[in-house]
Parts: sequence; structure tokens; C-alpha cells
Amino acid sequence: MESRRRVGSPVLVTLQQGCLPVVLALAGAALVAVVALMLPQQLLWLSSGVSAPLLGLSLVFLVLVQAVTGGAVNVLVLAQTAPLISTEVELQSWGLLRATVLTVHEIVMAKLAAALYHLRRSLMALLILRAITAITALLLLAVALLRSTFYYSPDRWDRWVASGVWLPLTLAGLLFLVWYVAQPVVQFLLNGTLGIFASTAGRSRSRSMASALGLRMGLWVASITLNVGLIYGAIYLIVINWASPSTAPLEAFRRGPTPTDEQVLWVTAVVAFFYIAIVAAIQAGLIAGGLSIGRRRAERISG
Amino acid sequence: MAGSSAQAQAEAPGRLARLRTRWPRKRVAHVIRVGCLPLLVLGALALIGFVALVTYRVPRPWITDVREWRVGGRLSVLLYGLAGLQYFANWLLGLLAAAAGGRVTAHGVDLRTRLRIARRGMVPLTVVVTFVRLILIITLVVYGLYAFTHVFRSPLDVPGALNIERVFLLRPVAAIVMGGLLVVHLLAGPWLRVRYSLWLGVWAASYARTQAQRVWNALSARLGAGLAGALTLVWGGSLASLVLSMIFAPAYSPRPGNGLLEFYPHLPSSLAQTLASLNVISAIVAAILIGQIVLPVVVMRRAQRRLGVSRAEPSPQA
Repeated sequence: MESRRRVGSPVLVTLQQGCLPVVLALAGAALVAVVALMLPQQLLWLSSGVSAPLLGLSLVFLVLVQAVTGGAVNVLVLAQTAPLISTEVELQSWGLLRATVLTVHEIVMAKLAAALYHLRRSLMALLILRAITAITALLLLAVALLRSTFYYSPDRWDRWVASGVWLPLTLAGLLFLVWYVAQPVVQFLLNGTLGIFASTAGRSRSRSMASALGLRMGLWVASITLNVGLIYGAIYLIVINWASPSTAPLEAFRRGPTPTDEQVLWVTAVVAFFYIAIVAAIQAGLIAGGLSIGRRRAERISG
Repeated sequence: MAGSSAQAQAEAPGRLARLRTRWPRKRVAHVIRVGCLPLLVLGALALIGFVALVTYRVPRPWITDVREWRVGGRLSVLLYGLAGLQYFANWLLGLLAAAAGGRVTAHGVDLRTRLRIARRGMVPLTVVVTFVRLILIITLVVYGLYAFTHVFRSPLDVPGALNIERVFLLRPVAAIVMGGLLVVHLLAGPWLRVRYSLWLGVWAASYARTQAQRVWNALSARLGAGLAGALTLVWGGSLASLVLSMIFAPAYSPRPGNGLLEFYPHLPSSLAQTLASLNVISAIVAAILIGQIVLPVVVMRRAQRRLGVSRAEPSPQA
């Protein structure tokens, strides 16, 4: 019912419906450009194989398309969810909604679900793009590993299998893959939650929209800063200091023994696994916490 | 002041209404469809004129052979320009055909007549795209005459031309097959594309719940099909290259790194590379042609099943 109530303007309908064709067109154009630029040249003059440069350039273009369209859909989700409750407050119809037999939880969740339902095509577009970039990256990894590493020294494969280092690497890789492919859904829910949260904070549509965009921007900058800092810190400690004690900048690591390549890979993979798991848990917590706070604030709003 | 703005507000809908009466949407679409033919002919002529009059006019001091620099450069620019122009026109043609297919779709209607009318509407633009491709073929032939023959005085020094000439003399069938397939693909491609896109539009639109969603579904299906084709090329090409090199050209082989060369062990690397490239291009073009012929039939059957139309009624040519 809530979904049917939301009759969008023609511009909004065009944005909701047009996202999928635009993403498909951009991704298709990017791939055709890469093929047109690289394939004839590679076929005619290079003898070292066409795979890696073709896949690498395709991946760069597709990730660029993904970043641009992902950002646009984020803003669209915020613009759709931020006015959900503030509009009712502004039009003085929130009290009427509260007078019905529906609980606040049901009202908030129905509004959020309806807003996200109308943007399902955008979500589908982003999921398709994620799947394409993930498969392209896996192919590139396979080419890089097989052609550059195991191709010239097959004994390295035996050493990998024997040392068991493939296990943490595969687990970390699989977890990263799941996390990466699920990101459109996570971001969709996270932005929806942010929109609901901002909607309960502002008493007018414009205020809630502005605070939602501000919150999103703040969260974006904070997450980038924190992630870059933590990843750099982990690399600094593990690779620069612990893995090479003879040249370690930190005094504490200089006295330790030099670890083997397998040990370094084990530790790196385990750290990466837990890092991704913690990031995923924080994202889930932000969604659940944001929704809970939003609902509580909505309960306190008077007609 | 207020009076004049009120008057302007009162006049605006009237003017708009008059404009709409004089130029209804169907008439505008008709003018665009019919006008695109002379427009594109003029566009192609303008491109040729621009290339002949503006580009490669003043040779740099280090250019030793001015004729070769001028002719080769101009032909290359013209080839790239025409290739881009025909690609864009072909892309647009597919989108318009898919949208037309989506627009005519409905349950329990005479789909055959509707599709015939939609297809007739696409004919002018299809002719235009075929015409641009014809100019592209003529330009390629002229380039070939300049590069391989003495028709226009001494042959131009084109990179790779010597290898192509030697491969042509060594394996003329491979070169003729590739040329023939390319010509067929270039000339028949737009017509096959319209047929495929129309049915793709019909099929995708059959999933829509509302009238407005039909065109969006049709466009998404057409663009998705294009993306799937490009992905097949990138992923399939990479996988094939990887597998071939792993099986046929391991690191310890005399010519490591390129499995294609192992198919022609008696030829020198450069010739083997050119011959392999010719065969790869032939295979890709043949696969595209087969896809353009077979896929519409598959899509047509699925669309007919979804819309409840008997198979005997509309044919893919409808």
C-alpha cells in the first residue's frame, strides 16, 4: 500500500527506470572501447599473449563506471529516504499515521521498504556491474598467477600446496569476494538507514535531506581515512617491519628472526580475513543501530 | 509587470498547443526517420571533405615521403572516422529497433501487423547505416589498392602490409574467407540487428507490468545483449588465450607465450602471427553472424510463448 502511495514525478520515474540501461550502456561502451583499442594491436604485433592487458584495462574502466554509478545511486537512495518521515511531519500527517493500528516500527519499515523497492532496478544494475568486475578480476588473477608465477616454475605450485598457505589465502579471498559482491546491497541498506535517521532528525524535507547528505559525506570521508590508515598500518607492521627485520624502521622488530615467505603469507592472509570480517560486522552494526535509533526517534516525534 | 507575466503565462500553453498540433510527435519521428538518410550522406561527404581539405596539409620537416604521409594519414583518419560513425549509427539503430519492439508488444493483439509496421519504420535508418558501411568498405578497398598495388603509382609503406601480402599469397583461401565474411557482416549486419533487436524488445517487454516499463525493459535487454557480447569477447578471448598458451606454448617451448603460433610450426613467427590473427578475426565475425541469425529465432519463440501467439503466425521477418 505504501509502495502504491508513492507516485513519483516523471523525472524521478526516469531516474529509477533509466539507471539499469545507463549502467549497461556505460559498461558496454567501456568494454567495446577497450576491445577496439587493444585487441587488433595485440593480435597483429604482440606475441606475449593478449589476456592480462585486456583484462586489466577492462577492469579499470568498469571500476570507474562502478564508482560513478554507485555514487549516483547512493545520492538517489538518500534523496528518496530522507524525506520519508519529515514530509509527514511537515504536512502534519504524522499524528494521523500514529493514530492507526500500525506500530512505529511497521510504519518506518514499510516506508523504507517502499522507497528501496522503487529503486530495485538501480540495485540490480549495481549488482550486475559488481558481478562483472568480480569475474574480470578473478580472471586477471588467474592469468597473473598461472602465466607469471606457476607457468615458468611449476615447482612453486607444489610448494604452495605442501605448505598449506593456500588455505588462509583462499578463505580471505572468498570472504573478500562475498563482501565485495554484496556491497551494493549493504550500501543500499546503509544509505536507506541514514536517510531514515536524518528524516527523524529534521522537521522539514529540506533539512532532513541536507543532514542525510552531510552524514553520508562524513561517513564516507571517515571510512576512507580510517581504512587507508589501518591498511597502511598493517602493511607497515607486517611487511615493512616484521617480514624484514634487518631493515625494519622500528627497533622492536630488529632483534626478531626473519620469517619465511610462507609465514608472511599466512599472517597477511589471517589479518586480511579478520579485517574484512570486522569491516562487514561494523557495516551490519551501523545498519541495525541506525534503524533502531531512527525508530526510537520516530516514536518521540509528536504529530 | 504582473500583468505582462500573467499574459505570458496565459500565452505559453497556447503556443505549445499550436506547435503540438502543427508538429505532432508522429510527424516529428517521421521527419527524423526520412531525413536521416540525406543527413548522413551529407555527414559522410562532410567527413571526407574535412579529411581532404583540412588534415595533413603542411608536412613536418622530418617527413621524407610527403605523398605517403599525406595519403596514408588521410585514409587512416577517414577509416577511423567512418568506423566510429557506423558504430554509433548501428548502436542507435539497435536501440530504436528494440524500443519499437517494446512499444508494439501487448497480449492478445495482432503482433504480426504491428511488427511489420515497426520494421518498415526502421528501414530508412537501416539503409543509412548500410550506406555508411558501404563507404567504409570502399575506403578499405582504396587503402588496399594504395598499399598493395601500383594502381596509384608506387605502393604505400603500411605497417604489417608485407606480412598480409605474403599470407595472402601463401594461404589465399584464409584471406578471401576473412574478407568475404567481413563484407557480409558489414552489409547484412544492420538488417540482422534490426530483426534481432525488434524481437529482443518484444520479449523483454513481455515481462513488463505497465505500458511505461515496456520500453525501459526493451532498452535494457538490447544494451544487456551488447554488454554480454563484449564480455564474451573479453572473457572468452582471455580464457582461450590462457588455455592455448598453457597447453601449446609452455615456457620450455621454442616460441613460448603464444599458443596460436604453434598451429603453424613451419612458418616464421611474424607470418604465423598474421595468419593466426586472420583466422581469429574470421572466427569472431562468423560467430557474430551466426549469433545474429540464430538468436532472433530463439528470442522470437520465447516471446511468442510468453505472449501466447501461435508459432505459425509471425515469422522473424515480420
